[in-house]
Amino acid sequence: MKNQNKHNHNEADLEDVLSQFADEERAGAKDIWQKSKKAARREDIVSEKEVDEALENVHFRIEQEKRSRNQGSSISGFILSNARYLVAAVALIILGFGFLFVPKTVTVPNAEIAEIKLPDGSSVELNSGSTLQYNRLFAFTNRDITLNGEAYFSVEEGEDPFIVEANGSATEVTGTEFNVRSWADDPAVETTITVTEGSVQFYPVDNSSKIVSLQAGQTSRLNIEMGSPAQPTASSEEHLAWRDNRLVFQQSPLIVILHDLERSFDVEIELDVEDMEYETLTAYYNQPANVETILEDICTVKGLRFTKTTSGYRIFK
Amino acid sequence: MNRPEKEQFEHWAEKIWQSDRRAFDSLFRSMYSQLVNFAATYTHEKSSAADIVQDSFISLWQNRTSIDPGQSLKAYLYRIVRNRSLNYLRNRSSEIAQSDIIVEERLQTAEEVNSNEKADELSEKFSEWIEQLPERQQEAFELSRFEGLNHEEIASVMDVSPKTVNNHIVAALKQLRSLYEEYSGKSSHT
Repeated sequence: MKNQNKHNHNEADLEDVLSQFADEERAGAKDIWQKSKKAARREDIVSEKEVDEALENVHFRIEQEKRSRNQGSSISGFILSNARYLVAAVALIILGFGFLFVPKTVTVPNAEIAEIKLPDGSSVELNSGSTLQYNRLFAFTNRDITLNGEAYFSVEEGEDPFIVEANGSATEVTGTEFNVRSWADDPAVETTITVTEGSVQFYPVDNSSKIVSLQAGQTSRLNIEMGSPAQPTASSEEHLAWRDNRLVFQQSPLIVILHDLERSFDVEIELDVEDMEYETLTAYYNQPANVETILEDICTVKGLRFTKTTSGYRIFK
Repeated sequence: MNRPEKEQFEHWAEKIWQSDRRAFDSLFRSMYSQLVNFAATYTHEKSSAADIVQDSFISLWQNRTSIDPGQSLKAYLYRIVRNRSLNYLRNRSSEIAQSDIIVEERLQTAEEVNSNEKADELSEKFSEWIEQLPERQQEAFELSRFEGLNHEEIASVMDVSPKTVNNHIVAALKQLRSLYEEYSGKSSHT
């Protein structure tokens, strides 16, 4: 390493710096440059062992994220990966008929919104973190779909009824456009339907007598504990805000808001405060660029604080 | 301190771009401790600095295919670590009470004093003067003098032009020089 200084690529830079000093000052400046190298600096000693542990940790986290990405990578934007077709082809050969009963699953990674075409020509916009399932006979003998999450359906006219099952609720249509929000991890496990075109039938999966009919411009919700859907009311366009990348919370419980943020920004948010989950909050964001400004607002309003953790954020008092 | 050279970084950059895990590991091993210390110049404590550097390496790996091969990998690393450190500081300042962090800082200061007892007075003075420099000047000067980055690399780390980097360092040197003269003038009189 002895010769290294001679070829040091910083030398030209130093010349540039020194050239800006008057001739009589140049030697003094160079002297200071050399002396400053000795400045006492706080150097934390990082041991071999710490480096090994840190690298191991980094490997672990890269693998972990790769796994979770693979699970969700069945669709990324509009593109299905080739590997999926390959797997599907092999599965078709091996399983033959049995394969027809293996449902097809589409999961959208967090922080992404995807649009997919269904075999019957209907299209679905899926919000971050949502999962959609349908069987291989979809569009042949039925049009049954299972959803956990939030999706906007534009349904083509068809012979079979188009039925979306979401956490105990069923929404049945022939040809129309509507939004379904139904997250299994939200505390109330509520399904909210908003219709924008045509009409839909909305009922609990296991009790179709409790049916409610919704027209365009109406919304209804079903909490499975309650047994029957709420009477339809006029919908606000805020139910569809997610499709324009907007975030809208209207008197939403904190825990629901945090789940939404986790999915929209692909971070983990830990609420380390007791008895705050059901505190409600109203807030609107157009094209929110980062989760931190939103967390700052929430914390300001609720008298909380937050800090960054390795995988996201922790909110505390 | 045995620091990897430019060619080594170019080699790593190419290998990592091809998803070579061994090159990534080797880069990590040679840069980790240096970068933790660099991040600690912002965070003033080691554990958050270590988190920031690990996050930065994970981000490097995840974005490996989109890294501009013409750009210095070293500058790229310093840039993510710096940005993440500044983010961390911004978040931390949004917290009202910082009791736990202050305790850590105090501990560190005590350590610092111990380890510096042996260092001579002048080197202590220099570190004091560097600390007093305006923030951007200090950053540019330290990246150049202690992290061994060239002006172009510093420019990309700090998101300014190489000309500005040059100006910062000239200004820093001028101020250090006048502080030094004042100091040596005083000590020769006493």
